[in-house]
Amino acid sequence: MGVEIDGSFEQVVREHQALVFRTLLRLTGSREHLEDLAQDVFLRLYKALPGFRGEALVSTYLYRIAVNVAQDEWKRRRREDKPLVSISDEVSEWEDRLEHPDANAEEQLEQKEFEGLVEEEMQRLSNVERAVLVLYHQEERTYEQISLALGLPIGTVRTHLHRGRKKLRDGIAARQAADGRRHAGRIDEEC
Amino acid sequence: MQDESMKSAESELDEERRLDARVVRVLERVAEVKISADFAARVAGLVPARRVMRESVRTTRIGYWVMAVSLVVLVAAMVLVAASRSHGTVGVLVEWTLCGEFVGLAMWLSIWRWRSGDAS
Repeated sequence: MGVEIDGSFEQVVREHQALVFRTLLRLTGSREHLEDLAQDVFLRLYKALPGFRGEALVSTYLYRIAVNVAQDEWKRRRREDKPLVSISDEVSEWEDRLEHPDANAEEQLEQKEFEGLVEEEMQRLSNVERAVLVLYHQEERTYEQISLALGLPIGTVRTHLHRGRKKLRDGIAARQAADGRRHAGRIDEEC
Repeated sequence: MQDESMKSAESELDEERRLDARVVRVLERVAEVKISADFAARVAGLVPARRVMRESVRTTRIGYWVMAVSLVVLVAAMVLVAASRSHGTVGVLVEWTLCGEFVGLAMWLSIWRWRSGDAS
């Protein structure tokens, strides 16, 4: 049984576009084709409207579609063998990323680098781990909502969340340790 | 020695917790996105206008033909009764009954035709 969404389709898009854009951005880790992907999400929503059941929120439905679209994008990238590009690298140069280039500029730079590191490590996670992390932390969805959006049992959602966070932590720690060793080696060479 | 190893394990745990908290803070930061002002309008323009699905009602004309035939039969019966020689109370009663049925059917047919004409 099809259920009509209140208001025009344009209104539905306008109400949910920010949600779709930021979820896709975090899931794909790139601003490239972001608008095309968001458009794809809404077109898929439109096609799915006749089968849309009233008990689920439109947002839950959109998260599910966004995750599927992001997965398709990953498959496409893998086929084309495209390298990973960090979200922050595309936005601006690192100098521009400093909000106040004076007193604690070094701290800010360090923070931005850390954020970049998290984004890069995010892209190394599995699709489902990434989706769970994004929905739980960025989108502040509950376990139940994530379970509904991804079609997974709540226990599995919890497992993916903890496993994903651990992988992130371990990856970042390893990168930081490697960077520290490289930095120390450079100082030794200079001495 | 044992104290030292315990301290080292604790500091490792602290470090891990700090790192985890920092990672969570980054994850909780909402990604900034730029959306063009006409995005919603463009997407809505790509989808076809939702057609109003009108359920077509299948109409059969069996009832219509039964009524028409009944009218003819009734007229014939009225003529036959009128032509018969017995004009007693029963004959008049039959004649009026047939006449009433004829008028009733004729009215029903008129209403039915008017309604079906209105719907189309």
